[in-house]
Amino acid sequence: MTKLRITIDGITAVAELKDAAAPNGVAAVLAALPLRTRVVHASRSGNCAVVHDAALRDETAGIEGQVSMYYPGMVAYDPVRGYLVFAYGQGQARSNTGTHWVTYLGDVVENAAELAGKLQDTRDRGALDVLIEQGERR
Amino acid sequence: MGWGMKRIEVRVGGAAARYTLLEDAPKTADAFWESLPIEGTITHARWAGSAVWVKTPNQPIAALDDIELPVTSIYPGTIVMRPNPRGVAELFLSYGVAESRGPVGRTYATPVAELDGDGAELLAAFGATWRDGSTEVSITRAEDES
Amino acid sequence: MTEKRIRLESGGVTAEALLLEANAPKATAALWEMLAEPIERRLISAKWSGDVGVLHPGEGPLREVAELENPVTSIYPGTLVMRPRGSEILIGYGVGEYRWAVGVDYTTRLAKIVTNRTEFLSVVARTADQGPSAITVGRV
Repeated sequence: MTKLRITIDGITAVAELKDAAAPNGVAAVLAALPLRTRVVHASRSGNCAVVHDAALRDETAGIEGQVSMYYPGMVAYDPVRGYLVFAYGQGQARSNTGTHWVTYLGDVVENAAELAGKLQDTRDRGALDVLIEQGERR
Repeated sequence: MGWGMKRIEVRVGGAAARYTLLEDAPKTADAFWESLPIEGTITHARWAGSAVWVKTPNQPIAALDDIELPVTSIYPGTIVMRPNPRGVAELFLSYGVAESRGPVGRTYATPVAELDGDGAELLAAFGATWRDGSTEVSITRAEDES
Repeated sequence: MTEKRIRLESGGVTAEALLLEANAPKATAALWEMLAEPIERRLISAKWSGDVGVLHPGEGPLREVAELENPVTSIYPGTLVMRPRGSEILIGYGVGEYRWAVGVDYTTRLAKIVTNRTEFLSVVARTADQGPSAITVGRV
């Protein structure tokens, strides 16, 4: 099973990815790693923070295991926009004019509470540096 | 004095702009006027889009529990008020495309004031909270207005 | 940039509205082009959108504007909004929200009324219980 290591502000969490259910999305995200960028709080989608980086864009990946709602610990991926979403509470994929679908990419399985705290921090502290690496080979 | 003549000033750091109170929801606009000055912390919206929000316990605005002129779109440069059952008023100040929204979808609020001019510097300060975090805001009656 | 205004006349009342060019450059440019000569249409009451009057511009440059610009669903009093491709222009006079049979939808803000607002909105409101009236729209 593919894993991601997400490091924000000295905290490292691990997410397990949906290799079987979202093979294109997993491949597209792995192709962008390691990724040093910024994570910023969502402005329309509720209790989650977003990594928005051109390296994550893949218009051929499509939406797999499509979901709209986020729950705590969920990792979602929007290949067209190049968004990787980390939810720390309830949220939903939303845009200017409504809701949309994203790929259910995986779940945070280690240090979820610590990561959630950092994600929530982006609301009051603003964007934070993030390092995303592959945890284990597929 | 006509409603169109009531003006307020919103200041974030060194950026300031004036707004004119709207006449379409006079009860809410009057309560807002009577509740000034409002000092607080603006935080970027989680659900609403390109907007910041501040909550205030100031009276009489915090006592309002109805939405006098319900809107969900918060036009750029508009301030809307949303009652909160915890006895505070939530003020949303938009700087782009924004809607009053919550976890389950669209919600409603009452528009109370509209930006005079483009207010580019203040709106940029609102937008900066998204990446830079929360900051202080003051909302006062404009000094040369009664 | 010089501000552009349009003139609205209905029921013997005239008002002026300021085009929101910064908000919707494509839609307002198309409307301005369309109004090289004033247009006369029927102003009717909205069926789904609340306290709103509606006119149908018909053929012209607005047909080319397919996308929304700074989309809104609420139609504040005194605000003129447009559906993509100019299929409808709506004028808010109270609590208005753009809706269609299947739910809420979005519009682009075109203009806001800046003169004779109260009197003109009363004329628009009358369409709700007195039926359609003629409206003329042109450049100032």
